[in-house]
Amino acid sequence: MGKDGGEANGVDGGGDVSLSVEESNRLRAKLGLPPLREEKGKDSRTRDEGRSEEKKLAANKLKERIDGVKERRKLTESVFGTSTLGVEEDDEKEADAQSWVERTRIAEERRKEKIKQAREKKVATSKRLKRSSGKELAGVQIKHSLGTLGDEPIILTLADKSILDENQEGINAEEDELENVLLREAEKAKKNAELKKKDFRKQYDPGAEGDDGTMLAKYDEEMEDTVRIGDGGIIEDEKSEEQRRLEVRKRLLLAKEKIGADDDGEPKIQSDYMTVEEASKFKSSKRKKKRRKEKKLRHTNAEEDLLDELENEGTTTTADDRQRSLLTAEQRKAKLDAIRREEMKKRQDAEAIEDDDLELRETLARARRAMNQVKGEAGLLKLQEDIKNNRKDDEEQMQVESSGIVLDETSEFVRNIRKPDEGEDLVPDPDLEFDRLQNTRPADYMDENAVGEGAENSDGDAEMGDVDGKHPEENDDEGPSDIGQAKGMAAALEHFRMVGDLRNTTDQVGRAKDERLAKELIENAGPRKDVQVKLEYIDEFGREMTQREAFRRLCYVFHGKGPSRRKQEKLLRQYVEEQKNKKKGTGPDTPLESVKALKKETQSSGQAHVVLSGASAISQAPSSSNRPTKLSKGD
Amino acid sequence: MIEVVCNDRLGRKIRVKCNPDDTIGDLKKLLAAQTGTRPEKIRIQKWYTVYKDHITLEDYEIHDGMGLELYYN
Repeated sequence: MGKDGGEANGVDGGGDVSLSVEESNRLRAKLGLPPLREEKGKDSRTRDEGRSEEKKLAANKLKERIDGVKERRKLTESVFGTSTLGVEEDDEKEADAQSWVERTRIAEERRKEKIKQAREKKVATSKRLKRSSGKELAGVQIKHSLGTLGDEPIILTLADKSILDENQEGINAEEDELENVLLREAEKAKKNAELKKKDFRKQYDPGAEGDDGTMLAKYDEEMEDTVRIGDGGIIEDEKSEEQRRLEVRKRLLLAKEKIGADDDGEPKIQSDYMTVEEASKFKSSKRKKKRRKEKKLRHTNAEEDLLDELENEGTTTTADDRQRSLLTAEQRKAKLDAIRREEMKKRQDAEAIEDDDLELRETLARARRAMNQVKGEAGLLKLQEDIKNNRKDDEEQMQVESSGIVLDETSEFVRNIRKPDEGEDLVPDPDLEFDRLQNTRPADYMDENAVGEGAENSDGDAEMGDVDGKHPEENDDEGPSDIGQAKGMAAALEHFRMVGDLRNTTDQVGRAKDERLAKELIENAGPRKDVQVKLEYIDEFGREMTQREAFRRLCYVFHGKGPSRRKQEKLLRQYVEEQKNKKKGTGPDTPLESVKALKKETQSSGQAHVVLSGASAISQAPSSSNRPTKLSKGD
Repeated sequence: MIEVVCNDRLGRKIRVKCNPDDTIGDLKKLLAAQTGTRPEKIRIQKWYTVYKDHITLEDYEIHDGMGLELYYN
């Protein structure tokens, strides 16, 4: 406060700066602000304090006065409210006995009237209540059974229920139900006690005592006994307890029928497997007989049948197989032996299987049946069509052949076979031959067998081996002429390895681990000959690519990023090497062609030997000095 | 009328008398008149809340004798 007035000169900076009220008011006026309001300020506070003391005093005085006045008024009121003795005396004087009697009588009457009125009111309300319970409660459901309700009157309230419906979307539209809270609680307690008695820990035992055929009854929804109030507020009690039970039983029966019981009325448990009875129903005895018959036939006529089959195949299969029909009688015999052996094996296997797991086979058969049903007749039709097409093709070919001479690979091959001097190589392994036959059987025959036994499908591998193993033998006829002096199997193999014929004839390009399929295999493997699609991918050198290599190329194109330069160079090198090898297919020679050099040397010297070391070799040096240089150049 | 103490902690402490219904902008003008700084260069804040020009002292619940921080932008 003291500072306010004094330190108005605060503009010089430093220390406290403050203005007095007047100065600040002037300043505010300059700035266009309203002047300071004094009343709440610090200056007015002391004054206020002084004033308040005076005020307090005044207020106290006033209060005292008011209190005094109030007290006086109370006193006067109390004085004036009571009737004075004198007045009463006056009344008594006036009143005689008669008047008193009258007064009392009137009072008595009033009292009675009051009581009467009250009674009437009560009756009226109760009547109203009764009326409402009669009309308005018609059709309302009570959540207790009649037995629990008893005879004495009880108060029912609306049972609790959720405001929203089950989905929490709309308002619950279920009808209101009445219940007595105490009764409800008693029922709950009773139920809990019952549940406590039960032992839920014991496992489910369908045959146990007290089991009424229900599964996991503890989870069943319990039906609550309810009573409906009928018209006129009378509770309908037409059904006795037993009747109700009967009804429930009926309902349950109906439900059972819906679920799908047998003709016995017992519920059926769905299972993966047929029962013995069902199986016996399902199995047709006809089929059994047929099978047996077939077996017998096989026993007796197996050989003849197979021979016939062979003959048929000779006519029906393609040119590749036709050569086989040209085989000699001896070969046929060998084949027959093989077939017989195979047949025996099969029979034994089948018997073993039959003994071992009949059940498994049954189930498998059922699954197959289901599959066939699904496939339906469409598959059969397709098969028939395929067979027809094949036959047509063959017939056409036959016609062509009969019209003139056709030179193709197979005919060439056959001519080669007939050469007398190489006959010993050409007797094929009968087992392998049979496998081959089986693989080229027409589709329907194959299908039947495949369904019958699943054990024989391992011959695919045998075939592969067959193809691989046969190559050297087949090419052997050309081998010796090339090799010249070398003879024997080892030499032949060596030669073919050098030349590159040992690998599959179709040279497919790809990495070492890529699968290389022989062309014939691919062509024959396809069950559908009517589809004329051939996917071939050729690389930049004109060679066919393997599947994987082709895919690799596609990927390169797709991603726009080829193999690295080094890889490309490597590929090129490999290709060049290969070509070189192919060209050099004249004989087994070292990379420096030392054999060739040796030959020339012997020819020029006229001797069967060449001296490599010792003094004689040195002495011969001038004559043979040219050779080594040539050798090193690689000619 | 209330008195507010504005301290810029650079050696200047200004007591300003003002009405509670004055705005912060008015307060700045008064401060500017007393210190000689331009009002637009003055920033008034309390801890990290920078007081805005168009809001009254009442609304910031600035009472008599309260200290405010004064900064110069």
